[in-house]
Amino acid sequence: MNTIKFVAVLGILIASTLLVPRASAGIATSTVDQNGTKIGFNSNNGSASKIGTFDFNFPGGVASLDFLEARIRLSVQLPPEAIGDLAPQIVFAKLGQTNLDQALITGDATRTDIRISYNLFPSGLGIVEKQTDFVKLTRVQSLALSAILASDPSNRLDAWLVSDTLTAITVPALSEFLDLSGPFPIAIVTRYDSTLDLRYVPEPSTSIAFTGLSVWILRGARSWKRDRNLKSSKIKG
Amino acid sequence: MFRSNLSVSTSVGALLLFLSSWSIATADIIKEFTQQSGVAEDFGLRRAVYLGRLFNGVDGGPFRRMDSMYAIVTLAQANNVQLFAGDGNSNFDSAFSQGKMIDTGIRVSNSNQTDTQVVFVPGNPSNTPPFKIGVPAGVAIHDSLAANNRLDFWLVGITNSGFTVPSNVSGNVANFFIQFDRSTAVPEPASILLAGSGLVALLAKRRLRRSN
Repeated sequence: MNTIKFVAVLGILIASTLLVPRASAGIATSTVDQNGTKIGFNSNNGSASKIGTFDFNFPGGVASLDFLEARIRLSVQLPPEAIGDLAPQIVFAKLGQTNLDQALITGDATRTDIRISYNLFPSGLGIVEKQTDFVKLTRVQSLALSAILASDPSNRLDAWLVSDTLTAITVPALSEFLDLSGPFPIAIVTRYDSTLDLRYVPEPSTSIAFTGLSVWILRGARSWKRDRNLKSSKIKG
Repeated sequence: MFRSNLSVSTSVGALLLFLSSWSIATADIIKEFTQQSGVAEDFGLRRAVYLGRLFNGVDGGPFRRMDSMYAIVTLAQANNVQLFAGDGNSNFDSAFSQGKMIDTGIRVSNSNQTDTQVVFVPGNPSNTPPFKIGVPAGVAIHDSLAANNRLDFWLVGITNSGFTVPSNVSGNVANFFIQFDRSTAVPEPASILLAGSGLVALLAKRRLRRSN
C-alpha cells in the first residue's frame, strides 16, 4: 500500500471515530430538584433518602459507554456520627424503586463507593451543601449503571443517599427558616437542587473491536499488496 | 346589731371571693427565641434533641403557673414529637428520670415529610389562640423557671426516630421561639370549693337568724 492509500484508510478511520458521537469520551451532567422522600433501608435499621431523578439522555444510547467515575453535589443534614464507614453512600437505581434492599439484590440498583461524610466541608448541625470529588466506579458498578440508564428511554436514574444504620438523615426538597425581624414570625423558603456528573469513555469492547478492525484492514491491505507484487514479478519473469 | 354584723361579714366574704377571682385573671406574657442547638441523644429509650435554653434570668415573680403557650420550631420528618421544658441541657434521660423535664403537651409533626419546615404550634400567634397547658404541667414548668431562672427545651421522639432539627439552614440561623402566658394564681378546685362553701354557710346562717 502506498502512502496515499495509507493516509486515506487512516483518514476514514479517524473520520468514523469523529462521526460517531457515542464513541466520544466526556462528562455527562444533570441538575435536578431534590426530592426529599425517605424510606427504610437495611431492614429498617437505616434509611434511604431520595436525592432526585437525574436525566442524562445520551443521544447515542449507553450501550457503547464505559462509566469510569461519578461525583455529586447535594444539600443534606447529617448527624455527626456519619463519618468513615458510617458515612452514607450514593445508590443509583432504576426509576420508581421503593424497596432498595430488594432492588440491590435484583440488580435494579447499585451501591457506589461515593460517601457523603459529615466531615466533608462544610460540616455542621444543619443543612449544608456538599460536593464530592470524582470517585471511581468499579467494572460491576459501571455495568450496573449502564443497565439502569439503558432501562429508561431518557436515560434517567434515581440517586439515593443510603445508610445501613443511621436514620436521622435529611435530604430536603426545600427548607424554611424562621424570620423574626418583623412584627410576627414568618417562614422563609429555600429550594434545593442537586448535580450528578458521570465521567465516561467508549466502552473497551468497542475500542477493541475498532482497533481489531483497523489492524485487520491494514493486514488485508498488506496481503493484497504482497499478492499484487508477487503477481507482477511473475508476469515480468 | 347582730343582723348588721352578719351583713357586713357576708359583704366582706363576697369581696374576698371577688378579689381572689380578680387575682386569678392577672397574667403576663414572656417570649423569647434563640438558635436551635440540634444536638441529639439516643440512649435506646428515646431520641431527644436539645433545642436550647430560654428565659435566662427571668424569675417567678408573683406568678404561679404557665396557662398557655406558642411554640415555633424548625425540623424535618417529625411525627408527633413531644416538646419538653425543664432543667437540663444534656442527658435528657437522666433529667427526665429525676422529674426535671416536663411534657408541655405540645406535639410537633411535619405536614410535608420531604421538607425541613418551620412548624407553628398551635398556629401563628398573629391569628391563632394559644395552646392551653394542663394545670399540673403549667405549674411544674413555672416552678422550674422560678427555681432556676431559665428553661431548657427538648424535642423527644421514639428511639431511632429519624426526625432532624437543624441548627443552621443553608447559612441561615435556625431559631426556635417560645411564648408563655402565665398567671398569678392557680384555680385549684379545693380552694374554690372552700371559698364557695364558706359563703354558702354564711348565707345560710344569715337566713337562719332572720327566720328566728
